[in-house]
Amino acid sequence: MTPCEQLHAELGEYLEETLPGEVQAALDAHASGCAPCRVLVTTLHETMRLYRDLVPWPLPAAVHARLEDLLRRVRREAEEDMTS
Amino acid sequence: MQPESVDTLMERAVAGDLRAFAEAFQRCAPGVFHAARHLLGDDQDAEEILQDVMLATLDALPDLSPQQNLRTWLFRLAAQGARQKLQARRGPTGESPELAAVLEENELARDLTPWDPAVSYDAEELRSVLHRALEQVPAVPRVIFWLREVERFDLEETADMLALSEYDAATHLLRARLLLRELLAPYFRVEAET
Repeated sequence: MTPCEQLHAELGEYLEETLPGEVQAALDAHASGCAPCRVLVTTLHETMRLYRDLVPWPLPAAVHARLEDLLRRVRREAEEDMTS
Repeated sequence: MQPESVDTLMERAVAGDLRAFAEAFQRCAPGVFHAARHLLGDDQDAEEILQDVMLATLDALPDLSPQQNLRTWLFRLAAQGARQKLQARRGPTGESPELAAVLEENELARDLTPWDPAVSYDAEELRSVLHRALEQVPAVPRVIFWLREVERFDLEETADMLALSEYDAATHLLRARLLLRELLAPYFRVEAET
């Protein structure tokens, strides 16, 4: 198996960083010297980073409003329990 | 003053403080909603799941341990509810046959043009690009990607929530990552000089 094929075969574990240290390091070294593999790996990492860094996605406004209503009722019941 | 963590709020909630529960739930709600939405492909169904999860958690509060991780609990319940809805539908899960075919044909990268680090979008534009790409990923890989990448659950927890083996979850995750990379490439790659 060529290093490129090995990287493709182990890509999932490589991205999760669950390979044995020496295998991970060998694939890192290969990716840094092989242009297509480097593009594949860097753009995959970039894809993951873009989603990870995204500010939290809000609730749609209508869903938020209905949830707020429900939670207001929960809070009101809590206050009634405390005063009774 | 630092806001209380969800864990601290949960401890108070289990001790009977429903205001603390409301605050903790409010913070987790968007993630729970979007996880259900990614699996079901439908806002209304996802909202039903969100409300069911809230009511079920309120019922279960007296029996929960103060150390119960609320986020894990909520996402687990949401995933369970969404899976039941999917089974009841017995229909398509939002899978796009065209994209699925493309991946099967060539699971690995097709577009190997480097991305341009100078390309940038404002926050709203970026969110829209990422959202549109994610919407094109088949439902199961999409929700696994969401739970793992955005909500930062580990692969074992993610697989468990969806009643999948870790191997299957890892396969779906890689598929989602590869597909998203392909879908985002046109927005980020270095354009060929003309």
